[in-house]
Amino acid sequence: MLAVLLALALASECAAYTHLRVPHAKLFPAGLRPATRAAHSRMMRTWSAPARPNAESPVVAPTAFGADPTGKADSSNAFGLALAALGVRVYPFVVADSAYLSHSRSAGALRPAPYV
Amino acid sequence: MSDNIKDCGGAVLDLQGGSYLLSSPLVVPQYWGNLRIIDGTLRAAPSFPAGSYVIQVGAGGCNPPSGQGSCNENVGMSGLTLDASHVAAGCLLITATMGATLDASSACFGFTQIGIHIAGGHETMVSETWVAAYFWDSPSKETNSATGVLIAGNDHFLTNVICFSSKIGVRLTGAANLLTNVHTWNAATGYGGVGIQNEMSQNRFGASYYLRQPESLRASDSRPVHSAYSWVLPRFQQPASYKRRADCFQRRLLPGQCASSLW
Repeated sequence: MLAVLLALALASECAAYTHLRVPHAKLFPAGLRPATRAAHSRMMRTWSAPARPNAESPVVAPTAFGADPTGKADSSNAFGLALAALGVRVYPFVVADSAYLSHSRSAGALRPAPYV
Repeated sequence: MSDNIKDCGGAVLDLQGGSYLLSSPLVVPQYWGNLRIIDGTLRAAPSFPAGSYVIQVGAGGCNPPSGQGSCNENVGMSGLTLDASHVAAGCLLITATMGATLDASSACFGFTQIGIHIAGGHETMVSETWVAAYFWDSPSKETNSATGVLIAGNDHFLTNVICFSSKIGVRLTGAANLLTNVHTWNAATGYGGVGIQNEMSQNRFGASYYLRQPESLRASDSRPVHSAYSWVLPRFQQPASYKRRADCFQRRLLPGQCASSLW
């Protein structure tokens, strides 16, 4: 009887957390899925949150506004423009592809380069 | 967001690993929030204003309806190298901001006055960051008068931060701040350097390490501070009044035992 009660309690507990399960495809987007069950187990043991916060946030690149990433020319104006674009949430240089916004921050290989 | 702070939607200003020259500060305007600046180097040009900081978040004159005193919210900076080039006053100025962060292998170099200046606001978190007025191979590390981090506000956090080659490693003029795993060294040893200069009560220092500076912890406020699990490795013979404080660290007393008895 006690065993039955424990089993029922455990089942109830598990059911309560069903909504917290994360889909496999969400955890491991394209290109990052483990090839084998062993690799999957290893990843699940070592998986942590994405290295960068806000992995799916829109990205503003100052180079798209004329900033010089080599540090030779003054980039002050370009940074002013980039920050202004960020403030009004207009990103004209971002390709019209939602997959870009979804994955560019979490998977470097999928990130288009250069931005302009 | 609070007090009608503009929500930038978590947008990211991505420096893409580039190194950029600036002749004027990168300013995050007052009443902006929820944005990030990441992954690159910003360097002050020779024409950069001497009294300004490479990045300036917010501004003074912040009087929001809530009375909280914070006009920016959730501004994150990570993976940045900020080089004031011995031209700009400092690398980062965070004014009247709630919830700013600087982290992830960031570094602040070459400032003439203050590396990171937290002015007012609440709950700024600086972590995994290196702060130095000069590199260790420069003779000027012994004679400069700069301050690594100035916390002029309440409830801010320094965690896993290294301050070296400035006259003062960390100076606190606000209360209720928490420093953990802070390592200060080469605090202008030939010039009366101080590892941590505490000028207010209720600040707490834990698990920190003070190396090669004439004075490791100076407390000009007589009210209690809390220090524990820290360690001093002095370079010079210290005056007796300082030695008592060093003893407090070196004996690794339990929390509270150093709090009210010595300061």
